[in-house]
Amino acid sequence: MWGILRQRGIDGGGLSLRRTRSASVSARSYAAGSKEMTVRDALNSAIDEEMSADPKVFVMGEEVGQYQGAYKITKGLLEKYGPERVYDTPITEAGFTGIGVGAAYAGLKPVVEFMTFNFSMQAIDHIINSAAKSNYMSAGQINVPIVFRGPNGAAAGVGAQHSQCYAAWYASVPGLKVLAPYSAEDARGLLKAAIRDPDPVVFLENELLYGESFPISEEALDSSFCLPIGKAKIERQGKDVTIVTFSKMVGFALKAAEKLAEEGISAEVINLRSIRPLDRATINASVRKTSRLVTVEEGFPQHGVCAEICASVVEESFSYLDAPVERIAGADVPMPYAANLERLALPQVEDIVRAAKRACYRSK
Amino acid sequence: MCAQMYYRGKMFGFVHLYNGQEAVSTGFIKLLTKSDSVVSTYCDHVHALSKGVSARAVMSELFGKVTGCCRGQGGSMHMFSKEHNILGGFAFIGEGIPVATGAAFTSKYKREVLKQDCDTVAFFGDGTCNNGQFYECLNMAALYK
Repeated sequence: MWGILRQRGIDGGGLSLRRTRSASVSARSYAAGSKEMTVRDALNSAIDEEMSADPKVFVMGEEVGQYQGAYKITKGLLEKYGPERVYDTPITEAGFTGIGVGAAYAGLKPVVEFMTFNFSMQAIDHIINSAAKSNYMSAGQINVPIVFRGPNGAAAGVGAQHSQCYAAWYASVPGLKVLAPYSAEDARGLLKAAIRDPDPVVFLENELLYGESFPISEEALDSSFCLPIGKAKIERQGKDVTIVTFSKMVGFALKAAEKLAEEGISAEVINLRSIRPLDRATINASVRKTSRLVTVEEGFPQHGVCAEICASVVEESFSYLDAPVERIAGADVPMPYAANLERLALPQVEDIVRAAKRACYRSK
Repeated sequence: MCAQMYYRGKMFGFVHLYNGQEAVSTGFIKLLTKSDSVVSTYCDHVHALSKGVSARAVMSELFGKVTGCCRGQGGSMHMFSKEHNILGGFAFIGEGIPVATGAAFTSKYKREVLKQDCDTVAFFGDGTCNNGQFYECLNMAALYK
């Protein structure tokens, strides 16, 4: 819907629109002045605006063009920018990812879509060896302004081979930036920042969040809007326990915070937004205030993002902790298919509440 | 010389020689301009030399010195030069082919969308023809030409 509004909106600008980086907000007013936006539309508008502002940006992936995107994230882009800038690829992740990386070496800005990040394993050699490491191996001569984006983590009943969370794997690699938006504002701001960034960025979306609507500010709707990479957001202030998480689990943490508030526990919820670089300063400042930490992720528990956060807090804020750090992750098992088993294999609001209470009663 | 240094322990890690095949790449690269790109394999020393990287910079890189073309950070298998458009030596078989295809794709994109001009050459051995990425790139090169 936003794609269509845009086409009717400020045209004449089209391909030659000069993007202003100024902080002043000359907000486009969209029809009806709606202040809510789905994550899907946020992503679509972000890609659209960046393609409009910079002719070196192009989109590549399976079904991104004629089918309008497997999840409709790239809807309308083929019609607007043509087949020279929106490429439907064969089902050859290794090949098209490598081609995207080569194009980035040569000066273009590809946005490569993986239908889900599970398929990125077919191309992981190029993401890591050709993209992430090149800036270092070439001593800074080559930079790779590429974005790898797509849905990550569990969906609903898609089984073991379509449900893995890759945040921990990619975030361990020097040379990559790894982002995980939660809200529509996160999606817009972080994707625009990723596309403008001169380094390879792994952009981990969530299929179940695509259809969710979030309130969005006028500032976030402006085409120059951008969020800083490496900065977490405190979604809810609190003083008794710090809950750190990313992506869909932010919503669960916020619900858990509501339940905890009813029992007199004030939880501070941090939305990481950026897994690499990790905002250790914000996390540690919060733990130094609350003295208790609960980390949550959907991915496998061993060597996960939560493990890194716990290590960071234990290394930097040990004397401030009043309770052992708590880690809530997905079950250590390939994702089951049956709905009841899938629910048991993923963190739920009750698990977060229980962990937070455990962290709070330890000192008594 | 490299082989001698390697056996004496002065060069370390991996060193892959290109002896006897130099004529092939030299012939091709001689036809390229400075703005054309070359993507190579781990046998990339000669490609870097032919494309214009100084012998001193290549040898220094092999010894891991800061005066090397990649300040000693790349090594024998990863020669890069932005100035001479060497887009890397790659360690894995077939890894450079999609990267080269991407650089060639950029030539096409630049011509069509940005209205600029350049070419790319990828070097690889005959064993690489077993690799799936090679065929994926042949397919896409034909699809997007």
